[in-house]
Amino acid sequence: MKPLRYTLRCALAGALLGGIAVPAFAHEPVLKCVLLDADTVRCRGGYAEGEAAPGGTIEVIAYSGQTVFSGKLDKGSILTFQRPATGYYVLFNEGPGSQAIVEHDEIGPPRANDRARWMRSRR
Amino acid sequence: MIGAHLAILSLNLLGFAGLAIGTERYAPQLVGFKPAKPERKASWIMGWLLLALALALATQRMETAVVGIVVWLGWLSLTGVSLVFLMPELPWQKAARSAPRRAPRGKAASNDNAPVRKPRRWIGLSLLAATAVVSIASLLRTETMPLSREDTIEGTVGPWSFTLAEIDRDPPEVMHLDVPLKAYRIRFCETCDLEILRAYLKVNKPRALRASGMAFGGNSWDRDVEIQLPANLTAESELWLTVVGKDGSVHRASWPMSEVSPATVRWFEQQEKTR
Repeated sequence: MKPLRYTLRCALAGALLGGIAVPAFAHEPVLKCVLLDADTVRCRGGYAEGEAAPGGTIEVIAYSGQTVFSGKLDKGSILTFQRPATGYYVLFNEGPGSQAIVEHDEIGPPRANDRARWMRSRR
Repeated sequence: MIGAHLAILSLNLLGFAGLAIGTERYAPQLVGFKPAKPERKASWIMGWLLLALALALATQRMETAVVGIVVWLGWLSLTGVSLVFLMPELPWQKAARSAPRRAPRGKAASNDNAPVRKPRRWIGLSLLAATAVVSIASLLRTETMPLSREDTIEGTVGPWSFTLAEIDRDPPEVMHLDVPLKAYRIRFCETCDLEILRAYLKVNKPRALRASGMAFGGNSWDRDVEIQLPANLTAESELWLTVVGKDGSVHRASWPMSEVSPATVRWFEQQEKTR
Protein backbone atom coordinates (compact mmCIF):
# COMPACT_ATOMS: atom_id res chain seq x y z
CA MET A 1 0.00 0.00 0.00
CA LYS A 2 2.87 2.44 0.80
CA PRO A 3 4.43 2.74 -2.70
CA LEU A 4 1.01 3.08 -4.31
CA ARG A 5 0.09 5.85 -1.93
CA TYR A 6 3.40 7.60 -2.71
CA THR A 7 2.78 7.37 -6.47
CA LEU A 8 -0.71 8.79 -6.08
CA ARG A 9 0.58 11.69 -4.01
CA CYS A 10 3.20 12.50 -6.67
CA ALA A 11 0.57 12.27 -9.41
CA LEU A 12 -1.72 14.67 -7.52
CA ALA A 13 1.09 17.19 -6.98
CA GLY A 14 2.07 16.88 -10.65
CA ALA A 15 -1.50 17.47 -11.81
CA LEU A 16 -1.77 20.59 -9.63
CA LEU A 17 1.51 22.07 -10.86
CA GLY A 18 0.78 21.12 -14.48
CA GLY A 19 -2.62 22.77 -14.30
CA ILE A 20 -1.16 26.02 -12.99
CA ALA A 21 1.35 26.25 -15.87
CA VAL A 22 -1.21 27.36 -18.49
CA PRO A 23 -0.30 30.57 -20.33
CA ALA A 24 -1.72 33.87 -19.13
CA PHE A 25 -2.28 36.80 -21.47
CA ALA A 26 0.96 38.07 -22.92
CA HIS A 27 1.52 41.79 -22.65
CA GLU A 28 -0.15 43.44 -25.60
CA PRO A 29 1.49 46.40 -27.34
CA VAL A 30 -0.57 49.60 -27.31
CA LEU A 31 -0.04 52.75 -29.35
CA LYS A 32 -1.52 56.23 -29.09
CA CYS A 33 -0.93 59.04 -31.58
CA VAL A 34 -1.89 62.73 -31.52
CA LEU A 35 -1.40 65.72 -33.80
CA LEU A 36 1.01 68.15 -32.15
CA ASP A 37 0.23 70.67 -34.88
CA ALA A 38 -1.09 70.45 -38.43
CA ASP A 39 2.16 68.94 -39.75
CA THR A 40 3.52 66.92 -36.83
CA VAL A 41 2.39 63.59 -35.39
CA ARG A 42 3.60 62.26 -32.06
CA CYS A 43 3.09 58.65 -31.00
CA ARG A 44 3.69 56.91 -27.73
CA GLY A 45 3.99 53.14 -27.46
CA GLY A 46 3.88 50.81 -24.50
CA TYR A 47 2.26 47.68 -23.19
CA ALA A 48 -1.29 47.27 -21.94
CA GLU A 49 -0.21 46.72 -18.31
CA GLY A 50 1.66 50.03 -18.25
CA GLU A 51 5.24 49.09 -19.15
CA ALA A 52 7.22 51.46 -21.39
CA ALA A 53 8.56 50.33 -24.77
CA PRO A 54 11.79 52.25 -25.49
CA GLY A 55 13.47 51.02 -28.68
CA GLY A 56 10.21 49.72 -30.16
CA THR A 57 9.95 49.82 -33.95
CA ILE A 58 7.47 52.24 -35.48
CA GLU A 59 6.66 52.30 -39.18
CA VAL A 60 4.49 54.85 -40.95
CA ILE A 61 3.01 53.20 -44.02
CA ALA A 62 1.10 55.01 -46.78
CA TYR A 63 -2.09 53.43 -48.11
CA SER A 64 -0.14 52.70 -51.29
CA GLY A 65 1.90 50.23 -49.23
CA GLN A 66 5.06 52.31 -49.24
CA THR A 67 6.85 52.87 -45.91
CA VAL A 68 7.20 56.64 -45.64
CA PHE A 69 8.93 56.74 -42.27
CA SER A 70 10.39 54.29 -39.81
CA GLY A 71 12.08 54.85 -36.49
CA LYS A 72 12.49 53.69 -32.94
CA LEU A 73 10.74 54.92 -29.80
CA ASP A 74 13.01 57.05 -27.59
CA LYS A 75 13.70 56.66 -23.86
CA GLY A 76 10.25 57.99 -23.06
CA SER A 77 8.67 55.54 -25.59
CA ILE A 78 7.83 58.54 -27.80
CA LEU A 79 8.43 59.22 -31.49
CA THR A 80 7.64 62.40 -33.43
CA PHE A 81 7.43 62.56 -37.23
CA GLN A 82 6.21 64.67 -40.13
CA ARG A 83 2.56 64.10 -40.99
CA PRO A 84 2.43 62.39 -44.42
CA ALA A 85 0.38 64.13 -47.08
CA THR A 86 -1.64 61.04 -48.08
CA GLY A 87 -3.60 58.42 -46.14
CA TYR A 88 -1.38 56.39 -43.80
CA TYR A 89 -1.30 54.15 -40.76
CA VAL A 90 1.21 53.80 -37.93
CA LEU A 91 2.40 50.29 -37.12
CA PHE A 92 4.05 49.52 -33.77
CA ASN A 93 5.54 46.15 -34.62
CA GLU A 94 6.76 43.85 -31.92
CA GLY A 95 7.15 40.79 -34.09
CA PRO A 96 4.79 38.48 -35.92
CA GLY A 97 1.30 38.74 -34.50
CA SER A 98 2.19 41.25 -31.81
CA GLN A 99 1.44 44.74 -33.03
CA ALA A 100 -0.66 47.84 -32.53
CA ILE A 101 -2.01 49.82 -35.47
CA VAL A 102 -3.35 53.37 -35.52
CA GLU A 103 -5.00 54.68 -38.71
CA HIS A 104 -4.61 58.33 -39.72
CA ASP A 105 -8.30 59.09 -39.23
CA GLU A 106 -7.93 58.24 -35.52
CA ILE A 107 -5.19 60.82 -35.09
CA GLY A 108 -6.36 64.28 -34.08
CA PRO A 109 -5.31 67.06 -31.75
CA PRO A 110 -5.27 66.07 -28.05
CA ARG A 111 -8.73 66.01 -26.49
CA ALA A 112 -9.73 68.24 -23.61
CA ASN A 113 -9.26 65.38 -21.11
CA ASP A 114 -5.83 64.43 -22.51
CA ARG A 115 -3.66 66.22 -19.98
CA ALA A 116 -0.44 64.23 -20.44
CA ARG A 117 2.59 66.38 -21.15
CA TRP A 118 3.89 64.31 -24.07
CA MET A 119 0.79 65.19 -26.08
CA ARG A 120 1.18 68.94 -25.55
CA SER A 121 4.78 70.11 -25.16
CA ARG A 122 6.91 70.53 -28.26
CA ARG A 123 10.05 69.87 -26.20
CA MET B 1 -22.43 25.61 -14.96
CA ILE B 2 -24.38 24.73 -11.81
CA GLY B 3 -24.59 21.14 -13.05
CA ALA B 4 -20.79 21.00 -13.24
CA HIS B 5 -20.48 22.35 -9.68
CA LEU B 6 -22.94 19.76 -8.40
CA ALA B 7 -21.09 16.99 -10.23
CA ILE B 8 -17.75 18.09 -8.72
CA LEU B 9 -19.33 18.27 -5.26
CA SER B 10 -20.90 14.82 -5.44
CA LEU B 11 -17.77 13.20 -6.94
CA ASN B 12 -15.69 14.74 -4.13
CA LEU B 13 -18.18 13.49 -1.53
CA LEU B 14 -18.12 9.96 -2.95
CA GLY B 15 -14.31 10.11 -3.22
CA PHE B 16 -13.91 11.09 0.43
CA ALA B 17 -16.41 8.44 1.47
CA GLY B 18 -14.36 5.89 -0.48
CA LEU B 19 -11.18 7.00 1.31
CA ALA B 20 -12.93 6.76 4.70
CA ILE B 21 -14.25 3.26 3.99
CA GLY B 22 -10.71 2.36 2.98
CA THR B 23 -9.46 2.90 6.55
CA GLU B 24 -9.84 0.47 9.43
CA ARG B 25 -10.84 3.24 11.81
CA TYR B 26 -13.52 5.17 9.90
CA ALA B 27 -15.13 2.37 7.89
CA PRO B 28 -17.24 1.15 10.87
CA GLN B 29 -18.31 4.73 11.61
CA LEU B 30 -19.44 5.34 8.04
CA VAL B 31 -21.04 2.03 7.01
CA GLY B 32 -21.63 0.38 10.37
CA PHE B 33 -19.31 -2.60 9.89
CA LYS B 34 -15.68 -3.29 9.08
CA PRO B 35 -15.21 -4.48 5.46
CA ALA B 36 -12.56 -7.08 4.63
CA LYS B 37 -9.07 -5.86 3.75
CA PRO B 38 -9.26 -6.28 -0.07
CA GLU B 39 -12.62 -4.49 -0.08
CA ARG B 40 -11.17 -1.64 1.93
CA LYS B 41 -8.25 -1.36 -0.46
CA ALA B 42 -10.57 -1.35 -3.48
CA SER B 43 -12.69 1.35 -1.88
CA TRP B 44 -9.58 3.39 -1.07
CA ILE B 45 -8.38 3.23 -4.70
CA MET B 46 -11.90 4.06 -5.90
CA GLY B 47 -11.94 7.10 -3.60
CA TRP B 48 -8.74 8.48 -5.10
CA LEU B 49 -9.99 7.81 -8.63
CA LEU B 50 -13.23 9.68 -7.94
CA LEU B 51 -11.29 12.68 -6.53
CA ALA B 52 -9.09 12.66 -9.64
CA LEU B 53 -12.18 12.45 -11.84
CA ALA B 54 -13.66 15.46 -10.05
CA LEU B 55 -10.41 17.37 -10.65
CA ALA B 56 -10.39 16.42 -14.33
CA LEU B 57 -14.02 17.51 -14.68
CA ALA B 58 -13.30 20.81 -12.94
CA THR B 59 -10.31 21.66 -15.15
CA GLN B 60 -12.31 20.83 -18.28
CA ARG B 61 -15.60 22.53 -17.46
CA MET B 62 -14.52 25.74 -15.70
CA GLU B 63 -13.36 28.90 -17.52
CA THR B 64 -9.71 27.90 -17.34
CA ALA B 65 -7.83 24.98 -15.80
CA VAL B 66 -6.63 27.19 -12.93
CA VAL B 67 -10.16 28.27 -12.04
CA GLY B 68 -11.08 24.56 -12.19
CA ILE B 69 -8.38 23.66 -9.65
CA VAL B 70 -9.51 26.43 -7.28
CA VAL B 71 -13.15 25.36 -7.59
CA TRP B 72 -12.16 21.73 -6.96
CA LEU B 73 -10.15 22.66 -3.85
CA GLY B 74 -13.07 24.77 -2.62
CA TRP B 75 -15.58 21.95 -2.96
CA LEU B 76 -12.99 19.56 -1.47
CA SER B 77 -12.82 21.66 1.70
CA LEU B 78 -16.60 21.96 1.94
CA THR B 79 -17.00 18.21 1.44
CA GLY B 80 -14.38 17.41 4.06
CA VAL B 81 -15.98 19.69 6.66
CA SER B 82 -19.48 18.44 5.91
CA LEU B 83 -18.34 14.81 6.29
CA VAL B 84 -16.80 15.68 9.67
CA PHE B 85 -20.17 16.98 10.87
CA LEU B 86 -22.25 14.42 9.00
CA MET B 87 -20.57 11.23 10.23
CA PRO B 88 -21.57 11.58 13.93
CA GLU B 89 -25.18 12.15 12.84
CA LEU B 90 -25.51 8.84 11.01
CA PRO B 91 -28.25 6.67 12.62
CA TRP B 92 -25.89 3.84 13.60
CA GLN B 93 -23.77 6.35 15.51
CA LYS B 94 -26.61 7.35 17.84
CA ALA B 95 -25.98 4.48 20.22
CA ALA B 96 -22.37 5.47 20.65
CA ARG B 97 -23.31 9.12 21.12
CA SER B 98 -25.90 8.58 23.84
CA ALA B 99 -23.30 7.00 26.12
CA PRO B 100 -21.46 9.62 28.20
CA ARG B 101 -17.95 10.19 26.96
CA ARG B 102 -16.51 10.53 30.46
CA ALA B 103 -17.72 9.59 33.88
CA PRO B 104 -19.28 12.63 35.60
CA ARG B 105 -16.79 14.32 37.89
CA GLY B 106 -19.13 15.91 40.35
CA LYS B 107 -19.79 19.61 40.73
CA ALA B 108 -16.75 20.92 38.83
CA ALA B 109 -17.99 19.29 35.62
CA SER B 110 -21.32 21.15 35.65
CA ASN B 111 -19.56 24.26 34.36
CA ASP B 112 -18.94 22.59 30.99
CA ASN B 113 -22.64 21.97 30.49
CA ALA B 114 -23.59 25.63 30.84
CA PRO B 115 -25.51 26.70 27.70
CA VAL B 116 -23.65 28.79 25.15
CA ARG B 117 -24.47 32.46 25.64
CA LYS B 118 -27.13 33.67 23.24
CA PRO B 119 -25.38 36.68 21.59
CA ARG B 120 -22.41 34.54 20.70
CA ARG B 121 -24.64 31.95 19.12
CA TRP B 122 -26.40 34.63 17.06
CA ILE B 123 -23.09 36.02 15.81
CA GLY B 124 -22.07 32.52 14.76
CA LEU B 125 -25.35 31.85 13.00
CA SER B 126 -25.34 35.16 11.13
CA LEU B 127 -21.74 34.60 9.99
CA LEU B 128 -22.78 31.18 8.70
CA ALA B 129 -25.78 32.65 6.88
CA ALA B 130 -23.64 35.45 5.41
CA THR B 131 -21.17 32.87 4.06
CA ALA B 132 -23.98 30.93 2.43
CA VAL B 133 -25.47 34.08 0.86
CA VAL B 134 -22.10 35.22 -0.51
CA SER B 135 -21.31 31.82 -2.01
CA ILE B 136 -24.72 31.50 -3.66
CA ALA B 137 -24.48 35.06 -5.04
CA SER B 138 -21.03 34.40 -6.54
CA LEU B 139 -22.23 31.07 -7.94
CA LEU B 140 -25.09 32.85 -9.73
CA ARG B 141 -22.71 35.49 -11.07
CA THR B 142 -20.33 33.02 -12.75
CA GLU B 143 -20.49 33.53 -16.49
CA THR B 144 -20.86 30.59 -18.81
CA MET B 145 -17.82 29.84 -20.96
CA PRO B 146 -17.61 32.40 -23.80
CA LEU B 147 -17.93 29.87 -26.61
CA SER B 148 -20.96 28.18 -25.01
CA ARG B 149 -22.96 31.43 -24.88
CA GLU B 150 -25.81 32.09 -27.30
CA ASP B 151 -24.18 35.23 -28.76
CA THR B 152 -21.23 33.39 -30.36
CA ILE B 153 -20.56 33.75 -34.06
CA GLU B 154 -20.28 30.54 -36.04
CA GLY B 155 -18.93 30.64 -39.55
CA THR B 156 -16.36 29.45 -41.98
CA VAL B 157 -13.24 31.18 -43.22
CA GLY B 158 -11.90 29.53 -46.36
CA PRO B 159 -12.25 25.77 -45.78
CA TRP B 160 -12.26 26.07 -41.97
CA SER B 161 -15.23 26.37 -39.62
CA PHE B 162 -14.93 28.18 -36.29
CA THR B 163 -16.75 29.70 -33.33
CA LEU B 164 -15.83 33.22 -32.21
CA ALA B 165 -16.95 35.30 -29.23
CA GLU B 166 -15.78 38.12 -27.03
CA ILE B 167 -14.47 36.71 -23.75
CA ASP B 168 -16.74 38.93 -21.69
CA ARG B 169 -19.73 40.97 -22.80
CA ASP B 170 -18.63 44.03 -20.82
CA PRO B 171 -17.44 47.36 -22.23
CA PRO B 172 -13.74 47.43 -23.17
CA GLU B 173 -11.03 47.65 -20.55
CA VAL B 174 -9.20 50.99 -20.58
CA MET B 175 -5.50 50.28 -20.17
CA HIS B 176 -2.16 52.11 -20.47
CA LEU B 177 -2.29 55.45 -22.39
CA ASP B 178 -6.12 55.29 -22.07
CA VAL B 179 -6.21 52.74 -24.87
CA PRO B 180 -9.35 50.53 -24.78
CA LEU B 181 -8.72 46.79 -25.22
CA LYS B 182 -11.06 43.89 -25.83
CA ALA B 183 -10.40 40.16 -25.59
CA TYR B 184 -11.79 37.52 -27.96
CA ARG B 185 -11.72 33.74 -28.11
CA ILE B 186 -11.87 31.48 -31.17
CA ARG B 187 -12.10 27.74 -31.61
CA PHE B 188 -11.61 26.05 -34.96
CA CYS B 189 -13.00 22.60 -35.78
CA GLU B 190 -10.59 19.89 -34.65
CA THR B 191 -9.35 18.90 -38.10
CA CYS B 192 -9.20 22.59 -39.18
CA ASP B 193 -7.07 23.49 -36.16
CA LEU B 194 -4.24 21.23 -37.34
CA GLU B 195 -4.18 22.91 -40.76
CA ILE B 196 -3.97 26.46 -39.39
CA LEU B 197 -0.65 28.20 -38.88
CA ARG B 198 -1.91 31.42 -37.33
CA ALA B 199 -5.02 33.52 -36.90
CA TYR B 200 -5.05 37.29 -36.47
CA LEU B 201 -7.71 39.75 -35.36
CA LYS B 202 -8.08 43.50 -35.74
CA VAL B 203 -10.73 46.19 -36.05
CA ASN B 204 -10.85 47.75 -39.57
CA LYS B 205 -9.76 45.93 -42.69
CA PRO B 206 -6.06 45.00 -42.68
CA ARG B 207 -4.17 47.05 -45.25
CA ALA B 208 -1.35 44.48 -45.59
CA LEU B 209 -0.85 40.86 -44.56
CA ARG B 210 1.84 41.87 -42.10
CA ALA B 211 -0.54 44.41 -40.57
CA SER B 212 -3.30 41.90 -39.86
CA GLY B 213 -3.41 42.61 -36.14
CA MET B 214 -2.70 40.59 -33.04
CA ALA B 215 -2.29 36.82 -33.35
CA PHE B 216 -4.46 34.45 -31.35
CA GLY B 217 -2.44 32.52 -28.77
CA GLY B 218 -2.90 29.55 -26.47
CA ASN B 219 -1.94 25.91 -26.56
CA SER B 220 -5.31 24.21 -26.33
CA TRP B 221 -8.18 24.22 -28.83
CA ASP B 222 -9.36 27.60 -27.59
CA ARG B 223 -7.21 30.48 -28.80
CA ASP B 224 -7.39 33.90 -27.14
CA VAL B 225 -6.38 37.38 -28.20
CA GLU B 226 -6.65 40.88 -26.76
CA ILE B 227 -6.71 43.74 -29.26
CA GLN B 228 -6.42 47.52 -29.15
CA LEU B 229 -9.62 49.22 -30.33
CA PRO B 230 -9.43 52.31 -32.58
CA ALA B 231 -10.38 55.61 -30.94
CA ASN B 232 -13.05 56.25 -33.59
CA LEU B 233 -14.85 52.92 -33.37
CA THR B 234 -18.54 52.98 -34.41
CA ALA B 235 -21.26 50.37 -34.86
CA GLU B 236 -20.25 50.13 -38.52
CA SER B 237 -16.56 49.45 -37.78
CA GLU B 238 -15.68 45.92 -38.76
CA LEU B 239 -13.83 43.20 -36.92
CA TRP B 240 -11.52 41.36 -39.33
CA LEU B 241 -10.28 37.82 -38.88
CA THR B 242 -7.28 36.73 -40.95
CA VAL B 243 -6.38 33.05 -40.99
CA VAL B 244 -3.14 31.74 -42.49
CA GLY B 245 -2.99 28.03 -43.25
CA LYS B 246 0.08 25.84 -43.01
CA ASP B 247 -0.11 25.61 -46.83
CA GLY B 248 0.35 29.40 -47.01
CA SER B 249 -3.22 30.21 -48.01
CA VAL B 250 -4.80 33.33 -46.49
CA HIS B 251 -8.52 33.66 -45.77
CA ARG B 252 -10.45 36.53 -44.23
CA ALA B 253 -13.85 37.13 -42.69
CA SER B 254 -15.42 40.21 -41.08
CA TRP B 255 -18.42 41.32 -39.02
CA PRO B 256 -19.76 44.68 -37.91
CA MET B 257 -18.74 45.48 -34.32
CA SER B 258 -22.41 45.95 -33.38
CA GLU B 259 -22.86 42.21 -34.00
CA VAL B 260 -19.81 40.96 -32.10
CA SER B 261 -19.46 43.49 -29.26
CA PRO B 262 -22.67 45.49 -28.71
CA ALA B 263 -21.64 46.67 -25.23
CA THR B 264 -18.36 48.01 -26.65
CA VAL B 265 -20.18 49.96 -29.36
CA ARG B 266 -22.51 51.46 -26.73
CA TRP B 267 -19.46 52.43 -24.63
CA PHE B 268 -17.87 54.25 -27.58
CA GLU B 269 -21.16 56.08 -28.31
CA GLN B 270 -21.27 57.17 -24.67
CA GLN B 271 -17.65 58.39 -24.86
CA GLU B 272 -18.47 60.39 -27.97
CA LYS B 273 -21.38 62.11 -26.19
CA THR B 274 -19.43 63.07 -23.06
CA ARG B 275 -16.44 64.33 -25.05
